[in-house]
Amino acid sequence: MAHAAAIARRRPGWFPVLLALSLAVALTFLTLPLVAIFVHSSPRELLDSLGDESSREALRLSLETTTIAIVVIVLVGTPAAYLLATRSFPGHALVVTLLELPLVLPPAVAGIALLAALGPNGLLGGALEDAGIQLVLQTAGVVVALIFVAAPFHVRAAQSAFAAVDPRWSEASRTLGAGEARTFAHVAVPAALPGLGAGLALAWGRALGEFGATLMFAGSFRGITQTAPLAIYADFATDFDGALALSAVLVAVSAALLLSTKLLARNALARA
Amino acid sequence: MLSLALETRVGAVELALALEVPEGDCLALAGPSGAGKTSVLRAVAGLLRPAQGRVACCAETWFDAAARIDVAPERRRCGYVFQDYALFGHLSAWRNVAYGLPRALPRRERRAEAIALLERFGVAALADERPGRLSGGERQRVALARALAARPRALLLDEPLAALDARSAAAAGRELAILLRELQVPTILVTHDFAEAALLGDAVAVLDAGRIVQRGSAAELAAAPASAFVADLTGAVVLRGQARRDAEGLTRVVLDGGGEVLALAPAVGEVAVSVHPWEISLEPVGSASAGSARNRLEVEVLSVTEIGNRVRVGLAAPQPLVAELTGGSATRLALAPGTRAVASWKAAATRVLPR
Repeated sequence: MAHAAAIARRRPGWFPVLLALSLAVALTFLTLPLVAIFVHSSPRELLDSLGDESSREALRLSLETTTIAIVVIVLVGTPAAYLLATRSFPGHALVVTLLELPLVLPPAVAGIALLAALGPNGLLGGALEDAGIQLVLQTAGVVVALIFVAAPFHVRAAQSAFAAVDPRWSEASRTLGAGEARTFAHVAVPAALPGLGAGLALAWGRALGEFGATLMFAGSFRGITQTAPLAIYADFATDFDGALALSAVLVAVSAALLLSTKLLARNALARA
Repeated sequence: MLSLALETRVGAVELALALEVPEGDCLALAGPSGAGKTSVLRAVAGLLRPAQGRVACCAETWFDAAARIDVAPERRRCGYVFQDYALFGHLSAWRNVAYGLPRALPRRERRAEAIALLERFGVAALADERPGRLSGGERQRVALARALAARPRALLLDEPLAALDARSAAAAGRELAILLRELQVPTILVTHDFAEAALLGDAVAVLDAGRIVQRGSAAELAAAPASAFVADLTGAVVLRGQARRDAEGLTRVVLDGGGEVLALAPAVGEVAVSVHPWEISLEPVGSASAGSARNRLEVEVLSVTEIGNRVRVGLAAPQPLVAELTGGSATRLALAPGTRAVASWKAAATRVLPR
């Protein structure tokens, strides 16, 4: 009797099975398309596609514009996130919500909004024209679109990374003779580095994949505004294999960026 | 000389106090949690801006609400040892210490100086460890070394022993006492433990709900507490009751809940009486009254705790008592939880305090 009870008690319930099943379904559904890209094109085809001038150009443009966008996002977004994380002021919650809004904006809306703000007939269009700055249909416009859609990812991650740093550390730093700027550079940023790295990787990934806002605001001109996602869209009707190969390269570049940013942040932390 | 006068509201506490700490002295600020002790340290360090008041150190004004002076924390240079030490988790021990060293020093000298300081606290071997890998006692030493590295003009210690276990706290307390005797800067030490305040402070100020209720040497406070609150903090037994004068000219205090206590000092009405645990002796029930102890209360033993060569006995009477005996007499009485006994002490050992 006691033996039978022990066996009955050890039988797994239905709930763990359900959990495992959910994970299996999610994993299959989310990785299958990615796997398909790589199954479809052999490494040889991948290399060949890189030989194609238009693919190379699109990839180069993507890397250039996302790099510039990320530098701007980090330089402006990091201190802004620090301020939001360490100080409270009237309207704090409103400011945070406004900064997060682009996260939930449909890309097409983001493109229209950018046109309405910075386009030739937009809110600041006249001022930009007077200053001799052209964004629409220009590479600079791509960068602006990327910053608009990707910055909230970094600011949000950086804010929670800074908020997780023990406020006593900053206070200790101040009593040890370090001003606010030095405290930010030598205590807050290094302590928040893993979170900052994650935010940067997220923003970079989002920027690399940006499609809708770029298309509407900057257009899709080879060599000027046609980034890799736009090139894939332009090619897929006529050259499916080529588009697939470029997709595979884009996936590989994104994954490499994500991984190296995380590793760099972790190593920097371990070395300090 | 560090002098401060503060008037400000922090959370639920209305802070209103004035203090002076001479060069080389350590003032122990003792009181229960929530009394505002840490806020005093933060105001001195510049981490909290009081609504009213003045903070000055070595003839330099750090804060003056009326004159709109508020020197930034990094320019005040207080050595602040936080309650949880607040060591930078991303920096090794020596880099934590070197953080406060003058920035002009080349790296090699910074390391040498940091290690010399760690050496002084006996933790040089841990120079390259991160705080996460250090024990509480080791962290406390690194935090002290870091606070002293910046050559502070005042030292602020927030419960420096509270995060340590009993054994390391005793050792760290003795070392800290030696260090404080050598240091030439004014020091404020915050603690909720009167024994710690007595060990480390040249003077003790008792803080209750944002106000200083008594100030003096630890011995003065223990011998003549100004109130039941101070007596309680010093570890004395505090009993509450109604006092009246009897025919002999003694003060008779009828305790709330039952029992009566005699005291010499005149008092009438609602009072608290206090007696030190070591002035209370225990006798078996029914034994003839020995000696001149006029105060006798029947009690039940609740707990028996050995502390070094002494035994602390928790007693249940209408109001709780604590007696401290030598190990020998505890054994002779065969004390155990549940044993009944008579607690006795002299009328002269009973202090009468306002409530």
